[in-house]
Amino acid sequence: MQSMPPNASTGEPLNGLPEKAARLAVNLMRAFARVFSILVLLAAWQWLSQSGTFTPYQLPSFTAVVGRIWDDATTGDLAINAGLTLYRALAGFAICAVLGIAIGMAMSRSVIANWFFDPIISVGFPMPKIAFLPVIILWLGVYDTAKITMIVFDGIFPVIAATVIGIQGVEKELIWSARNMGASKYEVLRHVVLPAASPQIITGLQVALPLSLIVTVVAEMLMGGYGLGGAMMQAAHFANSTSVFAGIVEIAVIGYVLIKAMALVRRRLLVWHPEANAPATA
Amino acid sequence: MRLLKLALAGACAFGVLGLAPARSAEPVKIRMSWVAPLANWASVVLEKKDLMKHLGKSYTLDTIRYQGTPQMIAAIANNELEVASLAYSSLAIAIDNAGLDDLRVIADEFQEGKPGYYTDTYWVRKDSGINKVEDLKGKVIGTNGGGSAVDVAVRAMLKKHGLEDKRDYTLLEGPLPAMPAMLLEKKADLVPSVLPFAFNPKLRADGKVLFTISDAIGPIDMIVLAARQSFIDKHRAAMVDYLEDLLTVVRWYIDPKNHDEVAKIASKITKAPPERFGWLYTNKDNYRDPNLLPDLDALQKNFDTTQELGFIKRKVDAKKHADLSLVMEAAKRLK
Amino acid sequence: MIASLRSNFVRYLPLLILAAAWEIAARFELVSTTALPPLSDVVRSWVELLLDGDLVRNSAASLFRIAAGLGLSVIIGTIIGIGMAWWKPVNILIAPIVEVLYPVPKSALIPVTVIWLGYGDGSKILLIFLGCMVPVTIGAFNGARASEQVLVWSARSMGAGKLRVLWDVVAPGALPELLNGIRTAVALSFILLVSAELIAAQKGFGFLIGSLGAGGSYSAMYAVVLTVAFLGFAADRAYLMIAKRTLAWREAA
Repeated sequence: MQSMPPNASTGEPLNGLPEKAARLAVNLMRAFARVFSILVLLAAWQWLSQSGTFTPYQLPSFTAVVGRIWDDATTGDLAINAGLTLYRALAGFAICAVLGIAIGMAMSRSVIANWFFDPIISVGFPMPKIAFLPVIILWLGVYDTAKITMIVFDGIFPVIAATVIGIQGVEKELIWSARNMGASKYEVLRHVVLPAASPQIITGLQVALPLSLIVTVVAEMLMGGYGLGGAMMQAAHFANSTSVFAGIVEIAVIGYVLIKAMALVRRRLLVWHPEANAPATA
Repeated sequence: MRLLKLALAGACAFGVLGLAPARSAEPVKIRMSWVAPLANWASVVLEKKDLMKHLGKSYTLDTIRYQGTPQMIAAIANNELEVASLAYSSLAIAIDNAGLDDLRVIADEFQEGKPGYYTDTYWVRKDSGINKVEDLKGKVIGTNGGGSAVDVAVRAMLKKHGLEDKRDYTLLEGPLPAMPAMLLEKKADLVPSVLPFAFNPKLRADGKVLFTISDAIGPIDMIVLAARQSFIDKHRAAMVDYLEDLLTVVRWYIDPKNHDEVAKIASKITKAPPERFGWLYTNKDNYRDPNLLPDLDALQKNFDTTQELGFIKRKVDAKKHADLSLVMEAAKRLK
Repeated sequence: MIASLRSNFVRYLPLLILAAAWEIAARFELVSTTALPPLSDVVRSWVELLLDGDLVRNSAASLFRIAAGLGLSVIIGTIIGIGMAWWKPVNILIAPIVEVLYPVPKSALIPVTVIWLGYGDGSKILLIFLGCMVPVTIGAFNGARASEQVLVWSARSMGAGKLRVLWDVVAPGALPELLNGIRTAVALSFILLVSAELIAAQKGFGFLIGSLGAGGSYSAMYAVVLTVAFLGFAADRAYLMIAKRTLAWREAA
């Protein structure tokens, strides 16, 4: 969401006030505006849950949900479940990144690899791969191997596609001149092609990350065991809505932190690049 | 704008006209749930439509499959399910945790631990060296999901012998059909086995029974049929008709002289040869009451066990949450 | 014509090779046939499912859910997105909510939609609507914001009303980004639908896959899995075609 501009960004200096105070006021206003609607939403949740329109099963109160998250945190359940969910999502994402970039590079360099993978990628990318989840269970069972395989299966396509497009976009002149100056093929790849393609590749990774999270949660819900998704399903079976809502909030926080972190990494890695702040397409 | 208003008014009028006469003439739609083929009556009842004389007249019946009894709770809460075949544990959870206080037990499906009938069993490997419940300390226990009937029972048994979840043993979830494999492949050290999976020949060769579900928590009213009070009050006559038909069909199924035909129906539903169903609805099967009357005392004890294990917080009164007047009235008609 | 057929054949040959490898591996039992039934068995099961109506019935249920959820999200997402770009107060109120909702893995909402609306169409439509609205809103917002200020100003200076400018200048300018956002939403709608149906449903693709798998009819399960995968792919290609037409038509007008 870095594509969203700061809302009150065009704050003009207010007449008669010293510039510093004016800026402080604008910043405060901006901060307030940012949280205002979220506070309204939370207040509405709390009010609705206590108004009697809904049963606590349909809508547990916000305070009860916060209390449950606190309980989960103090008993250590949160650490175990969130840790496992994070581990699966990140392990799957890491494999997507390494394997996806490798396949993408191979496709750009070898005609045969390109011939073989191109139709598979172009047909496989838009498929809802999650439908293969029962097949994965059939092959690999319900433990981490199966869960992480499912994540890789879903998340790898955008990475491969982005790598191929990124490398295709690198100017030929850049490569020729590097070769002319005596750089080896490997050196060209390492120092010229990959850096030049990196904005595209990182955009691919930024698509793969939220996808990995979605799939992690679904896989945990369907395959059971520890993890936030599994815990939510368990809670749903006990008609324990408070824990279900707590699970949503916990998963949302993890998603928020990971995606923000990824955007930060992008800005860090691409400081040199004019496209550093290009919007993440989701 | 005027066109929109006109269209809206028209839609409203149509809605009112369309609904009003429908209420009185149409038969009441009853949706009934099942989980396991053959074990739940809803999975077989429509095979004997010819015996159901009120079907299509005062009521219509849709049978709907669920993955497990806990899944039925959300369906009942959203009025997607009128007659739920709930395990004792799911019933207690629905009443207490989901706040469905108007759920009533209206009839029985089957019971466990009745002398002279089959009872679900928990198995270990013969060569595992596990000979008593205490030996399960530090072992892996297979279960089909927290809060299910066999899950609550095994937790209760282990607790009775001083073993606590997470501290003394690990629970591993899997579907019921996969339980024998989980045991024999040493993924789990104790697994529950229900019918028909308990007849697995490999399980019988390499496994042995450590205890039964009734060793764990005494006689059990395993599955009951439940409906909401508001629905019962609104459609009482149709519900009695429905229960009368259900009683007729159940009595036909458990009648030994129909057994060959029952085996054929079972074969058609499960696509397995009819010779495999010699046990079905006999005394080698779970106990099925011919009057569909639940054992409320057993149910109360089962609720209490569910509460002791912390699955529900408050005490749930079985008698208060039962309305057997309908099924008794239906039984009277058949005499 | 023949040349293009040939090049297409060469292009898609790897898929045929994969299919052949599947058939051979399963026929000669190089892998367990429960885990991987031969492709020809899968095709036979597919025909059976088609003839006995199971496939058609469940497909219709699923496609209806996608159409309803996606349709709602496109309409409401576009309105919100353009509204955010056009009126600052709307942006100030809604941007933080979109920003918080954006990174939530939407599959986490599946159990709640079931608690609220049960196992039927409602819960799936709500989930798809909530999940797809975010990319549509962002697409519409980015597009409308980027539509050239110069054009807007000149239109305004020529005396066009605010709504007129919105309709004639901003909305068409937002189209390419919006269409991109909707493409993401189409892919997401399939993922969310199948996930939700696998977890809690009584009809639809996901339900059919789950129940066939639980019953051990693996070749039929594979048949449905491949059908869903193909439909997701076909939806994307059809969408691309429509999007291209729409853009071309806009250029022409």
